[in-house]
Amino acid sequence: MKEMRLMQIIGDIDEKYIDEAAPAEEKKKAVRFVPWIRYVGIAACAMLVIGVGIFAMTQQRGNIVDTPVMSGTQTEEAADTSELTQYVNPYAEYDTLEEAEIAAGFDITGPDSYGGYTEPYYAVIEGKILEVQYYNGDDRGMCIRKAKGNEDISGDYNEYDNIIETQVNGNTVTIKGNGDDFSLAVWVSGDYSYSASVDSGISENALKEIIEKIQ
Amino acid sequence: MEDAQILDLYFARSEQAIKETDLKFGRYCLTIAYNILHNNEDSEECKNDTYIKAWNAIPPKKPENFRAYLGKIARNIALNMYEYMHRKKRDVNSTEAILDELSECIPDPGSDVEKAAESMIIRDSINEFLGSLSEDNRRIFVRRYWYASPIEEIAQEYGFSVSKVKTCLMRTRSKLKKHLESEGIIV
Repeated sequence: MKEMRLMQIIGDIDEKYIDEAAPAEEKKKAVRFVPWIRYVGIAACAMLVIGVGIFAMTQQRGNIVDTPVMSGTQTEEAADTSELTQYVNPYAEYDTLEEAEIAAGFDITGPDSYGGYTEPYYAVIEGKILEVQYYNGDDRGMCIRKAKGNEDISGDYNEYDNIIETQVNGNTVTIKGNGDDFSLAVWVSGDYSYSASVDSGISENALKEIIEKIQ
Repeated sequence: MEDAQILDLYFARSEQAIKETDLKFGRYCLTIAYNILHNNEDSEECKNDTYIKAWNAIPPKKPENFRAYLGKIARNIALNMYEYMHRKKRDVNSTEAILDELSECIPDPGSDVEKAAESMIIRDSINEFLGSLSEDNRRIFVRRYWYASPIEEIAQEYGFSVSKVKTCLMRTRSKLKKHLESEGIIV
């Protein structure tokens, strides 16, 4: 049906035209108040925010909001808000590697870019995993992660039919892929666990070259 | 919630991602689906399929325009469902009317061409065409053929009479046909 084909092609027009013609929105929904504000009160929230600021400056940990001891006069508020103080941003993004490293509590070295994927994105996941991704526009080329411990932090639970162990820089590295296209490498080195995943499979040697640069 | 924060939830694989997406974009996706399928149940199914696709794509996909991204997915799924139902002879008359209108824009069929590359060329040509229209004409056209909105709804929202909308669409379709012909495009 040729008309259907044209209908489908029209689906891909410039997004600015799609936005321009969008239906008017319904009346704005009422702002959803986060429920705990009702119990704790706005003043206590202000204390929480100020307390966080002071605490963060002394500890330099950007993602864990922890205000157990703010000051003697605030103990009442602190008691009310104690269960609210441990909030870890599940996915905190940072503009620079330095900020992400401070938040994670450790450094990472890795390649500056990956092929045409030259736009880096830095994040800390669950306050523990330092992540560097390499993008080109909307497309991601590679994702590298590092965390304390020895667990698999890749977040990649795909089934791969080719899993091999190999040595890189004196570390045993597990490389996973399908056939000769490898997409994932996980390894432990010293106190840290690492993962490197590429969105399009590459050869074992190419992946090892990348792993060599990660510390 | 800002789009960026909702996308963070996808990256963190939090279930909250879908809830927040539904809160912000549920109506938008349902409207697009309903305009094509004209059935509440089917539209709900289409909306839910849209969320599943988004959940599986993000990450690593990180859409710059999240609403348009979801809208395109919903529209595609709805069109596929429409085709399926049409084959099963279910009633989707209004959408047939829209497709009938579009059939005027298509010049007589020519020789076989590589379809995927051709689709991109046609899309680019349509974008160029849309850029040449006045804002009013363009909004009416896109609202009718991208969102598949009923003519009455377009007229009411943009403050035009129904006959003005119909005339505008007719003229724009005719211009589009001439534009595609002049570009040597055969659909």
